[in-house]
Amino acid sequence: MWSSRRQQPEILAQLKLPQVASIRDLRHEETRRTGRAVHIEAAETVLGRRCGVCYVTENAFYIFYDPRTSRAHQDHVIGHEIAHVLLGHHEARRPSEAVPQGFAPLLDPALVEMMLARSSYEEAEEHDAELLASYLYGRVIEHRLRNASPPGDDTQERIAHTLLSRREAER
Amino acid sequence: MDDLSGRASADESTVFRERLNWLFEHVHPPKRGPYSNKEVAAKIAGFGGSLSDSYISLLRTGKRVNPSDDARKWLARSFGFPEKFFDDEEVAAAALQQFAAVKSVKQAGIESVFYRMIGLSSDSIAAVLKEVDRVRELEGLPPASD
Repeated sequence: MWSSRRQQPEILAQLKLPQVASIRDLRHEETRRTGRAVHIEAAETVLGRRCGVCYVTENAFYIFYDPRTSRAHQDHVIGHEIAHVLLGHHEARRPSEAVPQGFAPLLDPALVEMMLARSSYEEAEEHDAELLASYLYGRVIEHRLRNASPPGDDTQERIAHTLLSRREAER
Repeated sequence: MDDLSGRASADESTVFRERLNWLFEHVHPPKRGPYSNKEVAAKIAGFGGSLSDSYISLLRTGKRVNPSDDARKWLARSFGFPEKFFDDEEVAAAALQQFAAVKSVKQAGIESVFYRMIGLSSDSIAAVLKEVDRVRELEGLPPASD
């Protein structure tokens, strides 16, 4: 949100937006810039409390506006939601900021953050990949050590295992 | 979830036990199982309360009933729920609704939400849930479960 009217033209100039007949047409520019579809739809909400909302997913922006207001007001609401995206507000948001303050005021913010944490499966995937990589590495080493000695050589076997377990312990 | 609130006729201690077990069952980090009694006891100790894990176990199985006000507050707080969760029907219902809203936002794969709003009544939470369902539909996801 700009702090003074004087800054408006500058911000507009920086955004380099195309000329459009309706603010709703900016959705195409938004799609071009972000690669995400922009879906604009009427949804009756609690009048006077909330005018517009934009949900952001990996694929699209979903803008809902209240159809019970004037066309001009609707356009303003839609413009506001589009502006968020053009200003890059959807990027680099931490999970704790993903939903607005006051979305779940009765719940501990730490709980909300925990529930929204995106890291859960991504971290699990990273962990699994790392684990598998270390197993693969261990197998390669083991294979090399085994091949360097005739099968059934107890001493060599013991050395190999000692080396491997030491490697495990160092990790 | 709805069956946890507004059960005026049910025995008070049953309501307490069911709510406590509901917290254990539903409130835990994604991709891991429920918290253990020990973990909850440790959490309570972490903010200056004191409940043993064996006592928590007795409360969950109903072998002990009517825990102290402090115990009720600590248990609710340890799960990030409001302290009156076990005692105030309205608070409990609202907290459960907010929990459901956050959960549905997550399940719909929504990364962030922008609002123009002042406050969030239970009516507007209901509107949020409707919108999130619509997002799910448009994203080609099955309707929200649970």
